[in-house]
Amino acid sequence: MRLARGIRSAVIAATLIAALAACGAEPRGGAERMPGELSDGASFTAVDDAPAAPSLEGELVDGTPVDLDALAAGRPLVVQFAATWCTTCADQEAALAAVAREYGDDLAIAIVTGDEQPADVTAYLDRRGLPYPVIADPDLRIWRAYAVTEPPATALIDAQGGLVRVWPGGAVESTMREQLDRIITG
Amino acid sequence: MTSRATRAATCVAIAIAAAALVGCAGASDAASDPDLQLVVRDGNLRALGDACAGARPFDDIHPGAELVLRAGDGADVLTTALPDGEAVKIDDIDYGNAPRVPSFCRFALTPTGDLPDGPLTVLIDGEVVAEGATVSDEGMVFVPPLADVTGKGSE
Repeated sequence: MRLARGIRSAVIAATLIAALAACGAEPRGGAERMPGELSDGASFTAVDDAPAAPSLEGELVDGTPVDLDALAAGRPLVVQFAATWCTTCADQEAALAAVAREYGDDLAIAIVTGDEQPADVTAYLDRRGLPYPVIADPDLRIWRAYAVTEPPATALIDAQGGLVRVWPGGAVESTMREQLDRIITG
Repeated sequence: MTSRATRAATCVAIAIAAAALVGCAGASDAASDPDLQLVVRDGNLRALGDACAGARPFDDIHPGAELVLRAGDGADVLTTALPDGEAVKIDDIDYGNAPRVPSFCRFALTPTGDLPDGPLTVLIDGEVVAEGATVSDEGMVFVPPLADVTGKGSE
């Protein structure tokens, strides 16, 4: 009888711990943040002579393998190169949020973080509540492919995978909108 | 020109260049210049006055990283977390309307004691990023260090 009570208590405790762990496991920059369905009637224009964008092959912070096709999912993609210690990057989150709101599902946004410690990134994502997929790039392989020497930097890739622009120092909202209006036509 | 004369001329040219570099890197506002500064000579394009971190290949030098200045006798004379850097100009060239110009990234530091006259080793997060750095008269520690144009360092 005492043994049965002990087992029951252990099961309840384990269930509680599992439930609490699940509550704490909010998706942070992982697969849950990948773009959804394209909106009906979405149409995009390719930029003439845009070179093919460098590879974005890597892993999200939750270990999900991704590449450019998966991150863009058939629409233009804004790639923000950032790091948790970069104060200017934090300042630019408002600009990203503004274009995300305006273009909705017609635009994909991803962050490539150069942080070396995954715990720093997840803590940062928890704190800032960023709703984008985040690629971990501790070796700065993707940064270098996009000639990023210092964060922030912003890249814009059209729906056909052409590299439209890279803004060292990061893009301001009006500049991003100007380019996005050219390539998001639907 | 003899080789000695050539060498002397080269030394003078390097000394002038180094002096200009020191002058420009601290050229923002002498009244507000901190007592001690870590100046990363990365030459990256930035808007002057913007917050910055060391650019490649100095990308380990960023806000929050632990800086240690170690004297020749092995004593740590300063240990601190780096604040935001500030982009400062490196020359007096007129770049017109260019929003971003070649710059260094300068970190303002607060010395916690006397700094030695001799060479310092600069460590970031435990890794040596510069050896033989010295504190200039203006309180600047350069990474990478300026060349020793006096020749004393090789004696």
